[in-house]
Formats: sequence, structure tokens, C-alpha cells
Amino acid sequence: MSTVLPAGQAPATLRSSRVGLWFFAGTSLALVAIALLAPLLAPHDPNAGDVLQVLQPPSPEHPLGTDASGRDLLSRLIYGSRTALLGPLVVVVVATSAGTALGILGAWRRGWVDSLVGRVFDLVFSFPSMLLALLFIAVMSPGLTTAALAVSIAFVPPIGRLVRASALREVNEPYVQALQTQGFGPFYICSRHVLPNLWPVILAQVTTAFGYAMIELAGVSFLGLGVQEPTADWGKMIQTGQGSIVRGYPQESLYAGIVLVVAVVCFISLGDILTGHKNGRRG
Amino acid sequence: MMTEDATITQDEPPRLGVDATPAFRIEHLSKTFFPGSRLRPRPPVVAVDDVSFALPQRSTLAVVGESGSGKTTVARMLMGLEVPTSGSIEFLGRPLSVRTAKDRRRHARSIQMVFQNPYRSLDPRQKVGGSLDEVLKLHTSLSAAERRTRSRELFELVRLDARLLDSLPSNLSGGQRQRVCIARALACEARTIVFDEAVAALDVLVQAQVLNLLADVQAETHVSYVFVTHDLAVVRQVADDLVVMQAGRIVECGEVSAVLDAPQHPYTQRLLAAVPREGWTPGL
Amino acid sequence: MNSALQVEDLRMVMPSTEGDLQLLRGVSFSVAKGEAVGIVGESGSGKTLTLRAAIGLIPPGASVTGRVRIDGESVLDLSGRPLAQLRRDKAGMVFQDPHAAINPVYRVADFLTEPWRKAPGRERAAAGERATQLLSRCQIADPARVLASFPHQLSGGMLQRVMIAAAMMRDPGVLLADEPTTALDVTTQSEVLALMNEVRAERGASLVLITHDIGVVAAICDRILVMYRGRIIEELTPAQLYAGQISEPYTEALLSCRPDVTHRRDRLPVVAAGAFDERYAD
Repeated sequence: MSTVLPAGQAPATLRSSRVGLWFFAGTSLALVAIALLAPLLAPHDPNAGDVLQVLQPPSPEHPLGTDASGRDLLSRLIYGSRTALLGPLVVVVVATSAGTALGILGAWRRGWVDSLVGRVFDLVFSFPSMLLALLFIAVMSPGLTTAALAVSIAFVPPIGRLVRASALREVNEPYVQALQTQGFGPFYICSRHVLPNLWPVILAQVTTAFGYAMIELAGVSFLGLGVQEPTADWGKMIQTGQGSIVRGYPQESLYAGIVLVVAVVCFISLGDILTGHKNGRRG
Repeated sequence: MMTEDATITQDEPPRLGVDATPAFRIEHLSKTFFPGSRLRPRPPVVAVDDVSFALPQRSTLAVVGESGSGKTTVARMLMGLEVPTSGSIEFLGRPLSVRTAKDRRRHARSIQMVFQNPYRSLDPRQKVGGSLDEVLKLHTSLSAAERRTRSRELFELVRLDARLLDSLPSNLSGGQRQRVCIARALACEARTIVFDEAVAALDVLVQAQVLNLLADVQAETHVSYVFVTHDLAVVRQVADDLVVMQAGRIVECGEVSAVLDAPQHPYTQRLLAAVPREGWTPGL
Repeated sequence: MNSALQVEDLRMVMPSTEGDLQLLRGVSFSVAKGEAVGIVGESGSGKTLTLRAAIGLIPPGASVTGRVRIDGESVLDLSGRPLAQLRRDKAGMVFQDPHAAINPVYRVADFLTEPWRKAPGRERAAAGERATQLLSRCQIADPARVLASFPHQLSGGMLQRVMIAAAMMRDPGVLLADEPTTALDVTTQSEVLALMNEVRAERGASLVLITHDIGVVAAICDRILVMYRGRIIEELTPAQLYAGQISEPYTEALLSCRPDVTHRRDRLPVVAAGAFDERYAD
């Protein structure tokens, strides 16, 4: 019997985060653009090393200097964005698909299926992603694919739990029961009705997960378990740049670290704002 | 055509009987819930206890009770949303089965439900015409164009403007949404529609319109209704027979005018005494 | 001041993407000491907004003009501590859904004595005793057990009685009830209404009761106010209502469109949506 207030009524806090939304969204998109346009933007071949140009300071030829193998740092940073974004993309796609499917399965079936899914989540969740990566390396060869796979599996439980919680709410709504009584099968109801209503929640989490996956993968590469030489990657560059720091040349690690932090903060903040945004609209 | 039985016998609970094949018949239906788990056992809850009645075709039966009476559980068992602990349910002579998807689809043509909350009974992301369309697609082999025509016809039946077919539920009022749900229930061409407190949340003027509409629809399509409600005024207006439930059991049943003019069971009398009307004062 | 509650030309406007919404269009009424006034209307009538505005609960973004006085004090001029004190001491609120209005984490005893949480022990003990007394006055057979329970362990009817007891703890001059029995069974509704009647008659408190059920207000209120789209369109007594001395067609519709438990009609009289808009336009 209550009056519903009009949808145009947005509280003040949302407006102030609008600025943040555009800033982080813009920077995130810029990073994606850089990754896509890398060949056009990079002044040099990132893997071409010139022994005579080792550890050079910034110059017109090498705007950010060179690394210990004479490779142009700027080009390596630009190309590094590719692996930095591709890895998390794979993680997010795989983890979201698996997490969503398992979360909805548990929410729909309840009972022992739900308990089993929950226990599997708990088990996987108890492993740090680094440990999973080590496990995978032991079986397969190190590289971006292996690292991405390991981190994907590590990310399934948090996404899955969130989807399950939201799905539980949706599944108990009268409209789902109405669809059941009409004779629609569970798969149809979950894919055509439940999932679209979960999209906003999932999508917001995906952006945040992207940022966290980025840092996890960078960490794995730093340990030498992910991206291998000579591919340019920010995490890897932080590691290889370690040797140069003691010789008085912190550029490689420093620049790679800064860019990594900026990228991660952007995506995570974007995700946070989107989550808040969607929460405000719900209901 | 109907045997009247408004008295309560000592040995068995009151029954509503019919001579011709009823739309559905339930016999000795019971439902017990076991809320605890192995780690934390809790006493079982008997929600429905030995309930039997039948719904004659083309008529309206009211299942009356307050919260905890078990009336909603009975409705859910009729819909196949809950599995009975014991007892039988038969639709037009056939036992109820919703084990397979095919059975469920067939059952959907026997009975449909309109829920209480019109604001949560429709997928918020789906156009209302779409919800009709997918039901028609499931149950009929009509082409897309034919389904569209049928959707229009259904909207006309519930006195909704056909232009609203392309609206989202959020653009419709509570009364309009409830009419969409009624149209959706009719789309399956179900023989029986259960209204689970379906008019309780509507404004007074809107409720009157919907009740009139339901009477018109019944006259046109010969569908049977089951009204699950605690509102005796609505019962008097729409129902032919009623069944009064308390704590999972039937305490009184019979023709509406007979029971409401001369209630026999103290619980029915109490329910009637609590209805606000001219000259009434609330009592403790 | 003779009146317990006085509302003068209350107007509420809410800006939205489709222009300004006039939620309340000049609502004025007063409630004398000890009087029971019922406000009846459908959704969108503004009855709940009026009640909430009376204790300063304005929806965010809305602008309000007009005056509201409770026991002589102007509510809309207050904020912060003085407003909280007014709400506690002068006005008792009873909401529609007790389970939603009471914090589920605390026991009933804590809920009833919350205002005395920081008071010295003696006062707290006195408050506890008063709570027990009020609960037994509210027809609760075992107050000690109820006091020790959590809200989810009690039924809707029981919890609504607790709410009424809580509202009366400070002996307010006016009791404000927003659809207090809509979510309850009809037999429980009867009991709760009788309780509210008794409690306020005993303390001499006034009652403002909001509901969509005109039968309920006619049963316990001295005066009935009918609201439509943000305005009071008619004021009458229950006697006048049932005697047919109704001047507005909308009020007539509210009364006659309801199903009647005593007899069935061929068709319920209906009016088209928006049939009254022209009559009650600005």
C-alpha cells in the first residue's frame, strides 16, 4: 500500500561518485586502448636488445631509458599491457563462467548439491593462488596460460559464492515459482530468467575481479612461474629489474610497478563504484 | 449437484463431496515439515493434517484460514510445488504427477496460480507481452504471429490495453500487473486457477474491479477458481463453497451462504465476529 | 493548546525527472486531546507521508512547507536531539510490519528500555518494571517470557502488542499508527484494535490511525479523514458514513466497492481509474 518514490530520485552520494566513475572508466579504457594499439604506439621492438645501449637514461630515442639487455623500456611497458590485460581477461571469463554455473546450480538445487558445491568452494578457497600455480607448474610447463588457469580456479569460489547468494534470493521470488508451475524446465528458467536478473551483480564483480586477477598474475610472473622471457610483462619486469636496482638503475622495476599499481587501482575502483551504483538502483 | 455437509462428525474431518467428476479431488492429504538438520534436530511441523475436499467444475471454492492454518501449503501441493507426506491428489480423475518436465507441462494445463504479491510475480526484466508469449510457445504450436494475436485476445479478456504488451512490469500498477498474471494463467488454458491471497494487496477500488473481472472471465471460459484467503467478505462475494481450516485441519465446510449465515464451529464464528462492519466494535 | 496534534497547510514536493511531484497539497487537520482520528485512502493518497511528516520523517530530496505541532511544539523546526526527544516523549509510533521495525538482534526487553540505556541503574530498573506492567496491560499473559525473547520468536500479533507497549512507555500524548493491523490475521486485528482503544482511553492519549480499510476506522475512530492524491477531500464521523451522509463520490466509492460479508452482490460497483482526477485536480 505504499507509494513508490519516482526513479529519478538519486541520492547525493551517487552524484559525487559520478566523477570517480568517469575517471576510472576512462583510465581503464585507455589502458585497453594502449594494449590493442601497442604495435602502433611502441617506438621500438620490445624484444630487440642492443648490447651497446644497456641501462641507458631517458633520451629522445629511448624516452624511458633501456633495461639490462638494452631493450627500450617504453616499448616493453606498452607491450606489457597486453599480457597484463589478457591474463586477467582469461581468468575473469573462466572464473565467471564456472562460478556462475556452480553458484546457480547450488542455489537452485539446494540440499546435498548445494552443500557439495559449498565444500568444493571452501576447499579451493583455502589454497592461495600462488600455491595452485606451483601445483600447476609441476604438472605443466610455466607460462601465461598455466598461470591464468591456476588463478582462474582460485577465483571461482569468491565469484561462485556471490552468485549463489544472489541466486538464492531470485530463486525464491514468486515469479520463478510461477514459471515452474507453468511447466518450464529448470535450465530454461535459470538461463532465460534468473541469470539476466543476476547480470548487474555479476558484471560489477567482474570488473573488481579483473583488477585482483591482474595483481595475482603479476605476482605469479614475478616469482618466475608465469610469463617467461623474453615476453614483456609488468610483473616479470619488476623481477628482472631487481638485478639493476643494486647497480643503481631502478627504472625497470619502478616504472613497471607504477603502471601495475595504477592499472590495478583503476579496475578495482571501477568495480567498487559499479557495485555501489547497482546497489543503489536495485528494488 | 453438490452434497452439503456443514456438520462436524467425531470420527472423521468434514468433507466436501461432489457427484460429477470434479476439477480436482484431494483425499486425506497431509504434509509434515522437518525443519531441523542432523546436527540440530527440531520438532517436525504438521502443516496439513488429513484434509479432503473436491472442487466441482466451473465453480469457485474458498479455502479460508489464518496464518498457520495450512491453506497455502494445500495450495502449493495442488500446484506441485510441495510433495505431500501422505494422501492423494487427482485432477479430472488422474493422479497428480510432476516428476518429469512433460508431466509438469501437462499439469500446468490443469491448474495455474496467481500469487499474492503482484510486484514480484513477473520477471522484472521481461516485457509483459513476452511472459505471455513464452507460455504460449511452451504449450501451443502457434506461430509467432498467431501467438501475438492470442496475447492480444488474452489482454482483451482481462481488460488491458494491448499497447501494454510491450511494457515492462515496472511501468504497470499493481492492479494491472495482477491482471497480467491472470492473463498468463489463462494462457495455459488451465481448467483451474488458484488465487493465493491474490487480491489482498490491491487497493479497494482496484480489488473490486478485479473481482468483477474474475466473475466475467469465469462466465466466458468456464474455468474453476480456488480462492485461498482470510477475507470473509471476499469469500461471500466470489465463492460458491468454502472450507475453513485451522491448524492444518478442516473445521467446517459447505455452501458459502449456509456456513456464513449460520456458522457451526466456534472458530468460524470467531472469524465472522472479527470482520469490521457497521455497528462492530473490536473485541478482546 | 487544546490539540494534541495540529497540521496546518502541509505541502510536500518531490523533484523528479518528470517535473515536480506534488505529494501533499495543503493537508490541514487537528486532533484534540483524547480523540481518535482515522485517515483513510488508497496508495498514492499521501496518508503515510502525512503521518511521517508529523514526526519529521521526510523522504530525502523532498521539500516540505507548512506547520506541524505536537503538544504545541513545532516539529518541522526541530532536528537532532530535540527532535529525537519529541519523538520519544510526545509521540508514539506503531508501524505496519513489526518484524521490520524492531531490531532483530536485541531482545524485547532491550527494545523497550532502550531510551534508558545510559540512565542510572535505578531508572533503568524502573523502566524495566514499567515495561512489564505495560506488557500485561497489552494482554500478554507471560510478560517475563516475552521480555526475554527475540523478535523472531514472537508472532506478528504478539510483536505488534510489544510495539504498542513500546509506544506507550513514555506516556505520549499522541499515538500514531500506520497500518498497524494490515499484516495481521483478522482475529488478531480485532484484538490489537481493541487494545489500542483501551490503552489510549486509559492514558487519555490521542490516536491517529492510518489504514486503507474504511471499516476499521469507522469502528474505532471519532472522526474519519478521507485522502485522495495528497489532499483531504472529506471529513465525517462513522455515524454519518453509515447513514449515507457522504458528500464526496470518492468516499462513497471507498465504502460501497468493498465486498460485504453479509450478502453477495451481482457485481461490485466500480469506477474507472482516474475518474476522480478531474474532480480533485488542483
